[in-house]
Amino acid sequence: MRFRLLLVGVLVLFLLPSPQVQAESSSFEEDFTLQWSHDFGDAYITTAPLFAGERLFVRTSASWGGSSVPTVASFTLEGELVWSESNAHSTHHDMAPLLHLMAGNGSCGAWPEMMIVGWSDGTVEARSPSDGTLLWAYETEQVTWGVTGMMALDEDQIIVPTRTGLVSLCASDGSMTMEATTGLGWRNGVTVGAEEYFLGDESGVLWGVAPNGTTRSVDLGDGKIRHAPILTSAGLLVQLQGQQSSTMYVLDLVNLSTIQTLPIGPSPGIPTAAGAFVLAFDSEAIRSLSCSLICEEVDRVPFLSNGEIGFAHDGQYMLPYNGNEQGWGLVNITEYGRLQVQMVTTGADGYATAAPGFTSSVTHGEMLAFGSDGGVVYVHATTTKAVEPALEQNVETFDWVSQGIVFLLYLALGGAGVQLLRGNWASMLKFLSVYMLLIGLLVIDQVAIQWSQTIDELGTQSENDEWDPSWNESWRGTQIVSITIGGEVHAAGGFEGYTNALDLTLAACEELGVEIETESTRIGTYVLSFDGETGEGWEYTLDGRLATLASDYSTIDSSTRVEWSPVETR
Amino acid sequence: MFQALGTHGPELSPTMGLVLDVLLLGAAFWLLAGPNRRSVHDVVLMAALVVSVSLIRVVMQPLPNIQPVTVACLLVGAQLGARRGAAFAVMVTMLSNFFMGDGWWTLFQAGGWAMIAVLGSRLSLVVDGAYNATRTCFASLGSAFIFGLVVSFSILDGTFGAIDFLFYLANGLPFDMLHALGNLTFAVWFGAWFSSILNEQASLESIERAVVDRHGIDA
Repeated sequence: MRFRLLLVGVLVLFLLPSPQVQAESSSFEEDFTLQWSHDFGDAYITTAPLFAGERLFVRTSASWGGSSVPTVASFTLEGELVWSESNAHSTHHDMAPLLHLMAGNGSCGAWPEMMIVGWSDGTVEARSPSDGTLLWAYETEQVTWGVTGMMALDEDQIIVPTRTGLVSLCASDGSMTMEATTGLGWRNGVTVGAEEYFLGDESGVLWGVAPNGTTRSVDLGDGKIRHAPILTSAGLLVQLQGQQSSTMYVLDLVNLSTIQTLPIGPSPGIPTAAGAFVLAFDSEAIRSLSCSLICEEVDRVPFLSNGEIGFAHDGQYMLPYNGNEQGWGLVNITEYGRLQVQMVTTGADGYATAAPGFTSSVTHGEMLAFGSDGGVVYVHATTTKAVEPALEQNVETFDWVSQGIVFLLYLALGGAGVQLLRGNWASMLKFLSVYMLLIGLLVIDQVAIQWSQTIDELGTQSENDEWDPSWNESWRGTQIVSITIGGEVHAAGGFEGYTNALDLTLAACEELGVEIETESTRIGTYVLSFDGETGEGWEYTLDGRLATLASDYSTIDSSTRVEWSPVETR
Repeated sequence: MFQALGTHGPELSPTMGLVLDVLLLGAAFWLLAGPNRRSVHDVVLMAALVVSVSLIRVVMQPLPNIQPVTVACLLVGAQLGARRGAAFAVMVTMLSNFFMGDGWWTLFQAGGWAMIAVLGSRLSLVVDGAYNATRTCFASLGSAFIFGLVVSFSILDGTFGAIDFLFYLANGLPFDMLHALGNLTFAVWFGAWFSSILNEQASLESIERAVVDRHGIDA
């Protein structure tokens, strides 16, 4: 009897994670209902939708191999599309957050209410929020990409982190008043300090740029700075993203010397100041840090998120779990910096890096907008005046498969428990096997990816380090891509700063003028063809060793050679 | 697993593909051919088994590495003997791959499942008509890894080193474990039932005994 009770106890332990999720039903799910959604098709939403006035602005980024063109769209709060502008010259990564400016004036002139859009082809546009009319535009330098980081407003100047540096544009007419050159940047937002602007680059260098364009810098080491630094009482907070892990630096604003460092996890997202604390997150956890005299980690909760985090209702924050159908984390930070994280479902629950958009108004209540790599924006509100089409959308977003699997899990575990109490071991094994199989099917993708990455890290590098004499000598020590199409080798090199094989390949294709077709799957991005040639599939090597992971999951270093060839030529 | 691991060895020309199909089909007929004439019931049962198990395999294709064929091969081998078990394995592989994709890997899949059918015939999963559930469960777990190993040989085309192959095998372990879990589920839910269906048919042993007895009387 005791043995049976013990086994029942074990079974109950198995059940615990599920009821816990139920018990943590958040105020979001109780208070918010889906009002409407809009499908942008084959596109990503990689930066937060933005509420401004009585409008919602959403920008999309092109998906790899997709046919859609990056777009900025404006909707009424009821979901009616007001205007939409696309950029056919975009180079895919349109993730610079939109910057909304109220009307104002300064020493360089007056300006109306504007929406500032930074594009990946280097263009900076000022558009009228009401009808999308182009007010002015300014071209910045494009080196594969253009503007990908967060812009900022400094009095009457719009401070734009470009691919190669920083420019200051007069808000009234877009005229350039300052230009400074830094290292190549990527998603490197700018912070406006008391006397200078701060931004990082892909070489791990933190730059301080004075309003007159003079620069100073400090090299933090091997890594990338992909966020706007945060000004705290303890100093300037900067994340240096490394290959396997990352480091948070606290710098002295006077001489940019390092005051302290804190270890954080791999692929960190864009941290944010949250009252007296800083919220940082990466592939391991969400962390709260207190930065008064020094910065110290107060609390951490295991999580996986690599993009943005945004303000939500009731002083809480929300960020997407960057995994398959995991939902969003609703983060409550206590007055002592302790974290309480609840998982909620929003509709945009797949892979995602964009923060939610949030607004609160008398007429529409509190509203939250969520976007993901699925290219659909879901708008929830505290009001309950959803119109008929919205009801239809609500039905569509009910995930029957997930609910069915959860039901089966309960059925299987319940059945096992009943059979255990009846002492019928064979029947208990039947139900348990179904339970374990379902769990296996649910986790296999992530387990396989993690396992392959572990195996990859254990693997010894191939001795095959042959240098192709046709390659440019200046490519030595840089990232190189070679693609064999129809027996002809296309090679491009001299790349730096890419962290995975797919991004590097896409950059090389751009330079070579090779058309690449890809397909996103649950275990990564699959290359279907180069220049329309599909063959029996494509495979690639990393420094001569056959790769075992999807190319977007293959991490690369600063001198990796990625060589693509059709399967049949191997 | 991906790109490289999603491939299954060299591409076959149409002629080589045809030769491979003829060889596999020939092997299946040779395995089925024997000194004793099969009754219509035997032939219909085997055909029904092949078609239904192939259909189940095709339908379950979206589930990663859930292979109902493995347990079926074990039990067909155990009940009908190694030859018919292997023939069953070859025919199911050919028929299901006709829908799921045929190629060099078909040879290794057929070989892997045929080997499992032979193992099924040697592991005493059914003794004197009595189905041994425990043995079948263990056999179904082990056969997943054996099948995974045999099928992995299809990647070897002369350019793959031993270390690379070991890494390839290691990469596939999570999927092999899922295969094992799927096998166990099939075995505990359907093993006894499937075995009883096969048991209704006279075993080779009993047929041979009947033939010997008849000759004994004639003598």
